[in-house]
Amino acid sequence: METTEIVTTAANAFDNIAVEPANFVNNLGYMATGMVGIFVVIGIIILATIAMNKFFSNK
Amino acid sequence: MDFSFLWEYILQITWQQIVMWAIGGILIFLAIKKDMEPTLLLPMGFGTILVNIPHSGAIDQISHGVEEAGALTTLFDAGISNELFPLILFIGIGAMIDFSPILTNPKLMLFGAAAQFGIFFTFCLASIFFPQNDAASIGIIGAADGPTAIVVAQKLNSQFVGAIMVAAYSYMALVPIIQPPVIKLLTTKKERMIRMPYKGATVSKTTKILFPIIITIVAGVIAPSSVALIGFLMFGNLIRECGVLDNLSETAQKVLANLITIFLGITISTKMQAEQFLQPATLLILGLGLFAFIFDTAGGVLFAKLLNIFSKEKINPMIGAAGISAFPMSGRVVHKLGLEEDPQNFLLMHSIGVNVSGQIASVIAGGMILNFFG
Repeated sequence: METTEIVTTAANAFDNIAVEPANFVNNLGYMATGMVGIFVVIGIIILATIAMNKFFSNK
Repeated sequence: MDFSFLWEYILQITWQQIVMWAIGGILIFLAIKKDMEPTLLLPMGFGTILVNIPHSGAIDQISHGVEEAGALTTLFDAGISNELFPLILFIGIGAMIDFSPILTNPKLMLFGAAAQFGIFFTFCLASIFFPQNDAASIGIIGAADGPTAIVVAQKLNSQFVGAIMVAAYSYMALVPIIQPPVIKLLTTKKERMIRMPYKGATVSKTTKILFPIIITIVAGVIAPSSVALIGFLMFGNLIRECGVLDNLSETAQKVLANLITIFLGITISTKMQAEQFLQPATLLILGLGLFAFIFDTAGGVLFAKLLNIFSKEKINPMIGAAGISAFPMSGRVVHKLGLEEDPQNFLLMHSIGVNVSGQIASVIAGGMILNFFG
């Protein structure tokens, strides 16, 4: 196979991947919701842990 | 006598299969010589060679119109396509983790949450090139947690499970190389020298027992798709902490975890067949996976810097980087960087605490992703 042929084949293969830059912006909402969701869950776990440390301390 | 059978199959070897043998060889080399995640990369490397031999009997083949079952395909159907192996492995991982550092200083868990940023940012980036289910599966490479990555990619029916696993485990092993430049780029020498005194405190046994139960309920109620992931992890931890199941805890940590790891590594290689793996998409996935680790690190460090604006007691922003769940490498990397700047600055207890919290947060992130797209 000629070098140019290999390059062309590789370029064609990449052509099969559709590039949709708008999807980045469209999916930012998931990023925001996901991060807020994680902080909410972790926040509740932190509060529960602080409460447990208070109620069940080794003192 | 007809000896044609000797070369019949040799002539069917394709260059793609030879490339995959080389990739398998590289994985084995990295596992043995460079000690990079050997428990996973070695079985994966050998499995890669195994499944790329023409008409390999290790995977399903159609011979004379009849489908013959292969052992690895059978194992894949039995343990990975239904997510059983990674979930059982989580019992072993849960039994290995000591949550004491975050129980004594619960605020450290915030950094674990912040360091999941790379998952979601990479998902957005990947969505430029891939459909949502594949993009989310690629983003989860940033969880730096193999079992979570397998569960999410399988549940979302991603066609790139093999590439995602190679990226996840390789970058986990490369944490000591990936993280330091990102940390140094985002922090000043003065910030890296901030000392954080460790206030040792004891945690009651009741707290240690209730912690895994409460986490399961809280995470499960908010993100029900995460129940299996977080539940198995916390079940393993409950076995460890309850104090009456020491034998089970030891079995989960050693025998169970080792057994599943052997099967997991070699079975995942069924997704390393040349026609599936040798695609331009694989290169793109490896690149995006690296982005995920970089942005996880950046997310943790920048969050710590943000907290420093409001906090009286300054935090060394490097500990934010330990929020990715590559345990314990990431915690050690931060500790080592702290010692480089100031030989008397011991950050290990803080960084390991953040690292452990990253384990919890990454599983919750996996659950969030499944809630969105599962």
